[in-house]
Amino acid sequence: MTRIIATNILSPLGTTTEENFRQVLQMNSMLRLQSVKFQSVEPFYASMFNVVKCFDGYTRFESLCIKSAKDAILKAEIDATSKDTVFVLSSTKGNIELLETGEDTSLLLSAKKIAGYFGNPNQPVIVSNACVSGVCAIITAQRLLESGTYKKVVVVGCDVITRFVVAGFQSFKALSPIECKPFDADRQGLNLGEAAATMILEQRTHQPILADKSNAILLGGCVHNDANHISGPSRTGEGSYRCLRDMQDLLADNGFEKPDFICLHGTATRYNDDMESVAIQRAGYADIPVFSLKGYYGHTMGAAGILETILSVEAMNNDLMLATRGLSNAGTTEQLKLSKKHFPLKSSCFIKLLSGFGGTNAAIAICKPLQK
Amino acid sequence: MENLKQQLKEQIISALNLDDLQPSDIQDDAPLFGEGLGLDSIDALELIMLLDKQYGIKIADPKEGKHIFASVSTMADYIMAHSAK
Amino acid sequence: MQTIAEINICNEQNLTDLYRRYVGDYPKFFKMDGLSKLGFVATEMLLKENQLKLEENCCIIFGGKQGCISNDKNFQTTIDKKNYFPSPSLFVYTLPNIVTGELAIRNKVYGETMFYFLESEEQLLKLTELTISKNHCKQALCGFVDYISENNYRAHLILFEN
Repeated sequence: MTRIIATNILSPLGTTTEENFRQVLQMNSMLRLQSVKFQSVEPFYASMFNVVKCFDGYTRFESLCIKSAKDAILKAEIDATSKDTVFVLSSTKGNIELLETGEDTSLLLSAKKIAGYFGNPNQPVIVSNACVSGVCAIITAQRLLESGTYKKVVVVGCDVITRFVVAGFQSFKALSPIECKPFDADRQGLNLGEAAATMILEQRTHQPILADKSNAILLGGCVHNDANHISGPSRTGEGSYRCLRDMQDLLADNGFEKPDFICLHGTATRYNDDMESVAIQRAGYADIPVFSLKGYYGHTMGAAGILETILSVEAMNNDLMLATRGLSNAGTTEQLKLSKKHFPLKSSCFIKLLSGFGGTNAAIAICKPLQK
Repeated sequence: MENLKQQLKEQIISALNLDDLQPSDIQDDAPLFGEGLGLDSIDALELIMLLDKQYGIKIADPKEGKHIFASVSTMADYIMAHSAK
Repeated sequence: MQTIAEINICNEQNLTDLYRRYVGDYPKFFKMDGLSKLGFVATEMLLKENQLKLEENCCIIFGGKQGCISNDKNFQTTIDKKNYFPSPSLFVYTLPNIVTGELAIRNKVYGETMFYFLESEEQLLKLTELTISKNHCKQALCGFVDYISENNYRAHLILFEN
């Protein structure tokens, strides 16, 4: 059994999981118009850190990873220097802005520096699987634990907003000129967001005696490709549908009839949100409450899968269904069970779904600790 | 106009990496998308960038592209009407 | 986990020549970045030479040291401050996992596609083994690929069966 033993979210909304969850409960966001951020780039809406105090010899990206991991490691009270502990890093572009000055942008180098900061002796694993990287990192961590390769895994996800990434998304006409509106009939694209998020996982053969409130159990996960297009989501939601079908089986194997809610990708681009609604419909989940967190944080890229899973765990443990911030009039190919306000919802398990460039889709299923 | 169309065909082949094609393979009025050259959504975005870079024409709404990029002829007409350079 | 077929490619072999010899009818090849071209050609050769097909649920697990660095640099040239015309078709390839997506599309594979940055091939083999046993999939295509520049690339692909 894979347990989540500690988490951290470091975002413009707060420096801990608790603080971030409180901000979400208050429907807050740091999505702002960034008008003169990067040369020759058009103004864009994004959630960005004002100032990041960097550690000596570490970049902004690496410093955010370290700060987030540090808080979670302290909370988990694990020995990061142990040979039984490994770091799994999730990022799409890491230090890509260093290309402008011709420096080394290697994610391998960054990951080694981050693991090295904590005195960890093992070669870190780096997942770079587009927007689904965070969920894939959690899935990889579970495999490393279940096989007995390691006893504890520190999963860190992070991406920063750079000229490189904004220019690219603008060339794709994917950025919204206003605050993003996931699943809304008038959605106009996505917002980018900066964040680092950490999840510490361990393997236990027996139920924990004391169930820490923030703890949860990772039942498992899966990854499927659409085999359709490298940037456009499949109109039939093929990969996401296959992921949901796998998670359905996994939940059933663990005695759960259905998920209590699903945290969707919900980027607020026309195609992604329509695609997800089709996948949900095909999986027979039209009556399951769903939400997107992009209206609070924007799309946090390599951090998204981890950050959104952590907030979903908080929602589950507090028996709450979260509102989709930014939504006014729902409008997707198939109808979804969305909410504009948070509401109480007795929950014991949920699914987190993501999809991204390269036609990749990923999902994980998580349940409360002392449940069956 | 004929020169512009010829130039456009060369620019399209180069910008979209259609290495197996010659300008003479592209008919003036043949559809570029769908059954035509088999271009996709990324190609459409690249054509928007081509108009900006080569002709100083900015297209804000990608949906507009559908009519402009119907064929080499429609592209040439649009450039004649809007060129800033 | 049993090795079914294996292939090595390096920069002594020209990728476009290999494409013309082994494929020839997939013009999307010319739109790909170097890393995708390398993975694509290597997979086509591996399958054709051994008369194999990828199964619908095959896992495509790729890794390398440099990812899509060559294409990152190409995209960077399109966002020069004085000559700013960001190219969407280059941007899409600034994700190293796109090569696995190209292979999934070409071979109609709906299984797991994944990209890892790794120091050694050994690490990738270990992760592939964990993927196969966890997913109960019959087949996995494992590729250690690096495309640093036109004159410096290499790929080692192995097709495994459970």
